Amino acid sequence: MRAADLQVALPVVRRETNAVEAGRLIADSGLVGLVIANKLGVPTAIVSAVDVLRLMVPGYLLDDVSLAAVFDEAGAAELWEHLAERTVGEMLDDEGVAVRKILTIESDAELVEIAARMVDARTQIALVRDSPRDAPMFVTLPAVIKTVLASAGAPDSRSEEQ
Amino acid sequence: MTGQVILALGVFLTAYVLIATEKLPRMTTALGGAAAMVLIGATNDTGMFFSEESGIDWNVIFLLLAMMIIVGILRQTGLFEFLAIWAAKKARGYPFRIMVILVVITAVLSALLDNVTTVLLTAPVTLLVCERLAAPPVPFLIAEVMASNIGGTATLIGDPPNIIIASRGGLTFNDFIINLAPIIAVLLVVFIGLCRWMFRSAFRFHPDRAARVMALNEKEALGERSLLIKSLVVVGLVLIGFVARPLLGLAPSLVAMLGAGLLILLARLEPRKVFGDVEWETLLFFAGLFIMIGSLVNLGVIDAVGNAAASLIGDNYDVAAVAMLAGSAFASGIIDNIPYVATLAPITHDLVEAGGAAAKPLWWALALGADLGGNATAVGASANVVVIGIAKRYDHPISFWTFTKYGLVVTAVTVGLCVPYLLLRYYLF
Repeated sequence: MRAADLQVALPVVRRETNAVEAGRLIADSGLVGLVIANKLGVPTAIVSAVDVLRLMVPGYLLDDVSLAAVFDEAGAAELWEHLAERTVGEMLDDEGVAVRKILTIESDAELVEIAARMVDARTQIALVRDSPRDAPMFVTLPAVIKTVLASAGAPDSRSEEQ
Repeated sequence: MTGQVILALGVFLTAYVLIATEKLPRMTTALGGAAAMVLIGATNDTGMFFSEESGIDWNVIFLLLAMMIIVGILRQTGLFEFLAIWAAKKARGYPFRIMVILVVITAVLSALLDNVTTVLLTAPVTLLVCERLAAPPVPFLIAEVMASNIGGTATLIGDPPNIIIASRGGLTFNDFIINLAPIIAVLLVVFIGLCRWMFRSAFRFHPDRAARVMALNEKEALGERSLLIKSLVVVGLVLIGFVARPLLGLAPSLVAMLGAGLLILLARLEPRKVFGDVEWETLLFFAGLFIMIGSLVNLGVIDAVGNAAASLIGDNYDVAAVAMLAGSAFASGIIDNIPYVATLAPITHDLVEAGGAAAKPLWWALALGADLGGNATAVGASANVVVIGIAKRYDHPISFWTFTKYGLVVTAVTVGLCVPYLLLRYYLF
């Protein structure tokens, strides 16, 4: 199995994308991370889904997590009111966020090379080289793990249930 | 003056400039300076590691290390957050009352913890309370960091310069309480009055916003109760150990290390949490500073300065105390008060040795000037820099001049009040 066989199209966000739009992509598509493009639309970096969640939580609660427990339901709901004001750019500028330069792999890279490179780069998403600039293609972590398991002969959990 | 002395002074002054301008990380500067002193032959391994006069002051290093460990475990209990929210609710959501309570809590905490730790603990909960109140957080953050600098002056462990002064001067925890705590209590009251005046536009009361503070449940901030109890017992024992030094004969560093060890045993936390708050860079910075200053001691520079100062002062220790207070306050507003006090401590030691009891208040003048002077400017104390960084991160920037315009007022008033205190208590009667 090669990268070209695993590749999929993914939504791409930019610095000005707000937290609601970024969060919606993850919530609706079950993505493990987001691809960030530069001004020219070229994918340059990725952030994990948990870092997108970080964008939604007030920073002082991350500095002191025990404070997150003191809100009642109404108080907690108020905290999400300003989500639309926060942008992906703020997340990129946050020292606490691990923004990773996007990993590029050859379209003919074998599964083991893809897996090793993704682990080495500690990334959930890799860009497939030579994919069209206006429609970049990616390999995602769930797809790689699923293919590794299939190659190892591990039964699919859904087929086990059946 | 020999070539070696000129070289050593050049290294020392260069390091001072680099620390003041923050061109390099201060740890890098201090260790680089220490290495340069070794290379020019101003000190050696025996001098650095084993000499009481010119070596690393291990009492200071280990006291700081132990307190960092204790605080690191204690902060996992949620006690500080509980106290702050409980206090805000007691104030019924009135902004000025909340500021007063936060200022008092910060000052008291700061007397027991170092100032940077204190503001790191109080800043997040302050931002939360201010957001609930729709109050501007900047006045609250500035008031807290200044309260921290004032409160930290009261005890031996409240501010790193005091730890250096205690070690060099052979002063006890009780000496600090007896000589500094009374004036600090007065200064705190005056400071609260200044806050009311300086930040008067920040105290608008909104009943609906106050209700949002009242809805917070402070008990939820508390973590594991057994850890809280163990931590409070150990902190209590450590404080008793400090106070009972005349009976026990244990140096503060030993008491704190024993307490830290006991708490590690009782807490059974993973090492990441036990040592997570230890600022290794700060400890190495201190080590580098001690080596640089010890080198000047070895070369006779500190003795020469001490002798010159002694002959200049003569018997006028009252004038000297006021000059030490004012000079230290001025210097600490411009440069980090840790290297300043590390440099002045051996000189003050020489003066006190020469002058006896009449010269001993110079230690208190040095502590008051260096600690309170940290409030003067945005860069006067490490805690100021930390709070300004936090405020910037959360879109409430505090400019250098915003901080400094309040800082100069507070420093002038607090240091000004220390002048009659020193003269009345030690010299006029």
